[in-house]
Amino acid sequence: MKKVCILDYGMGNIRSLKNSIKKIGYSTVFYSDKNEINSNLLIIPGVGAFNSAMNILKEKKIDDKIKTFLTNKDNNILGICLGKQLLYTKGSENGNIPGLNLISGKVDIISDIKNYKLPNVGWKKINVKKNLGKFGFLTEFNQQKFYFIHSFIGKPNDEKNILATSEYKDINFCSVSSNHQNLIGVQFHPEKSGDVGLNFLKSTFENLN
Amino acid sequence: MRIIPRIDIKNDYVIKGINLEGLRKIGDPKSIIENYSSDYADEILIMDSVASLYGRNNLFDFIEEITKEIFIPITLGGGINNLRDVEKALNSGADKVAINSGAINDKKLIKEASRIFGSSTIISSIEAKKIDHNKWEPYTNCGREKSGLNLIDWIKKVQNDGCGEIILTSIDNEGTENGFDIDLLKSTYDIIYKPIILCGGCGSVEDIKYIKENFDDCSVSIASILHYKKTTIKNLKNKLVL
Repeated sequence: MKKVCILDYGMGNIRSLKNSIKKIGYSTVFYSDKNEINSNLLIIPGVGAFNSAMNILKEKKIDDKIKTFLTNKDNNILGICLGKQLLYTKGSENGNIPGLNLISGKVDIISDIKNYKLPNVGWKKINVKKNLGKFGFLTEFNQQKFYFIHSFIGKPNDEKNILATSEYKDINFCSVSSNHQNLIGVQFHPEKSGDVGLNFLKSTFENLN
Repeated sequence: MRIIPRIDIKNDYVIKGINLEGLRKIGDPKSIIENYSSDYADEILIMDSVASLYGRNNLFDFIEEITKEIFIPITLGGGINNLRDVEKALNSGADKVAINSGAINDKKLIKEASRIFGSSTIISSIEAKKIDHNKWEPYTNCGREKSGLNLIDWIKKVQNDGCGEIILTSIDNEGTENGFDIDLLKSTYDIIYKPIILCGGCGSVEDIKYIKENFDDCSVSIASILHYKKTTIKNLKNKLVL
C-alpha cells in the first residue's frame, strides 16, 4: 500500500484528511518536528490564521525541512486551504508575514467590500486551465464543484502558476496553483468534497507519485 | 446558497419536534445522514438534543464513526460548553462546532475558541424567540430558557468575537413547516457580515426560493420536509437551480 505523509503541526482537523486518504486505499503517516517526512508525498493541511501557522513552522524548524524535502525532484507537496496559502511569499493576515516562498505571490483578503459576507463558504466550480503538462490530470475536474471555506486567497505573481480559478461573486480567484514542478496547492478541501474530492485526491496521488 | 439538513439526535435516534419541543422519532442517524450526504447535501448539521439534560455533548463517538464514511462538512452542536468540548468535537472529526448556550453562559468562549481553533470552525448558533413586535430574544437550552440578552447586541458581539458563521433559528417557526421567519431575517440581515444559515419553518421549495432571491449569502438548514420525505435535496436543488 502506498503511503502519504500528512504534516501535523496543530493547525486544524487532520482526522478527516486521514480518513479520506484511507478511504481511497493509501496509508497515512504523520510528520511533526519530532520525526522525518516518511514518504515522497507530503500534504500540508491547515485551518486557521497565516501568521499563527508560520510561527509554528518557523519555531519547530519545519519550514526548512519542507524546503529541503522539495529540492528532491521525486518528492511532491500538496497544500490544502491554509496549507496552500503558506506556499506563497507573504501573507497579510494579521500583519505582513513571510510565507514559505515556494510560489512567488501574496495572500490577501478576498475582498474588503463590506457587503461581502466572509468567509466564502460553500461548493464552487473550478475552471481548469489548458496545457498544464504534468498537471494535465486536473482537466477531468474542470467545472466540478468542491467545498471552500476561506476569507483569504493566495495570488501568484506569475499567471503561469495559476492552474485553476474559481469565482466568489464577481471576483475571480486562484483556486489551484503550482510551481509547475512538484508542488500543488488547492484552496478547497478535497477531503470534504464528497466523491469528487476523493477522486481528486486519488488522481493527484497517482499522477504525482 | 447551501442546503444543510439538520439532524437532531436523542438516545440514538434522529428526532423532530415542533418549536424545538414535542419529539417524534424519525430513524437511525447513520443511515439518514448517509442518505442526505449522497443526496447532494452541502453540509450536515448534527445537534445533540439531550445535551442540556446531561450538561454535555454525547455524540463525539458517533461523529468519529460516521466521518470514516462521510466526506462532506459536518457541524456538531449541543452541549459545547468550553474549549475542551470544542477540541473534542474537532478531534472526533467534526469540521465546525455550533455554540449557543455555552457562549451565553461563558461570554468569552466564542472569542477564545475562534482564536485557538480558527474563526471558520466556530459557528454561533442563535435560537431566537419573538417577544414583542419586531423584537426577539436569544434563548438557551433548546429554546427553553430566556437569556435576557438583546438579539441585535448579541449578534454584534459574536461577530466581533470572531465566529465564522451564524445559524439563526426561529423557535416560533421551528418544526411548523409554515415558512422561515422572514421578519427575523429582515431585522438582522443588515448587521450580519458573516454567512447566515437560516433555520426553522421550511415547508416547501418556495420558502427556500424566497430566501435565495431576496437575501445574498444566506443558506438554509432544513429538517421536516426531508425527514418526512416530502422532497429530496436533489429535487430542491434542481428546482432552485443550485
